[in-house]
Amino acid sequence: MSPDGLVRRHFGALGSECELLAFGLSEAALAEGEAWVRRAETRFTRFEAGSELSAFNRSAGAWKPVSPPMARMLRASLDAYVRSGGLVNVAILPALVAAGYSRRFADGLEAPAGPSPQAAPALPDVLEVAPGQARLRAGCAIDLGGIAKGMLADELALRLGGNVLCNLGGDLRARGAGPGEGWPVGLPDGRTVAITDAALATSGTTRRRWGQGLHHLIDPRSGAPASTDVESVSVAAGDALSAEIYAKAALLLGASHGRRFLRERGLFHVMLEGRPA
Amino acid sequence: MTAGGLKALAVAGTLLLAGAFSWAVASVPKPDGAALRPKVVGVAPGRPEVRPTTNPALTQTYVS
Repeated sequence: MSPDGLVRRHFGALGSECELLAFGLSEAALAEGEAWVRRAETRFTRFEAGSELSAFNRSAGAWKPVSPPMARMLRASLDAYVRSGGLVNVAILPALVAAGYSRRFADGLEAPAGPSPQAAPALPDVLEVAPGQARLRAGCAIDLGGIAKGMLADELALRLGGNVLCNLGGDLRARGAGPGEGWPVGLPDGRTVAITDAALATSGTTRRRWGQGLHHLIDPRSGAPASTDVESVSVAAGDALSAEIYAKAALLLGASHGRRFLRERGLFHVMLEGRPA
Repeated sequence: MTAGGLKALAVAGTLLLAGAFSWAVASVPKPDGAALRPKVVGVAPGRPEVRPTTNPALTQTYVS
């Protein structure tokens, strides 16, 4: 049973399930929130030739005018690269395509038949962002994936305002205290925690799998789907983009180093270990 | 060896053992129980508040 006054809206976008929950907002406000997410998706998807991201990837090698939202996303990608020690690298798109993830997951993926994986280039070496324009090195391409989900969850929570929780494909950003003592959120281990003015994100290898041992989390150090003993890791941070960055980095580091990485940053986390993916 | 020399040797040995013990304790990985029990307030960046609750979950964080 939902608490009194809760309004919620569920929809599919960004290749995931999305949900908006709020107290003190109208259903129309949440509908506008959904429309905002869909507009953002048309800009940042790599699966539509007409998206701004696809046009940017096609322009690799030359300076290209970019919209303010795209410029923010590109700068966030460079920042994520630095904060993760190079583990969160949007320049893994060629590796992702080489692994077979060349179209929407729902359309079915095939095992790769291409060349051996190669490490992704260092993002600051191949991506430059200047006022109103950006340049990608020739031969490179980017996938905004998790960066976009985290950043959009943060932006949408701010846009909606008040007491709200935005869940974009498992990347959550909460503002306010929900029904009273925090927004109750289920974790992959079955427990529930309450978060207030906080964010949660989960990274893992258990979903979006295909072929033999292939999955969507590319390790930029190898260019291949990550081999990790972490099945999933959920991380809480002040914003969803940070939670996304730290969760992905911890997963790629593996259980031992990943836990140390998160402890050093004082971040609440729940890590589920499994056999190497 | 004189009594004073023996005493100095004993003190040095004790200090060495204490140091080795402290190093060994510091080197043992700390259990992750604190991280697994959500009575934790994360710190970076911002100060997210995460608390255990018995309320039913309104939504989930999941691998997407």
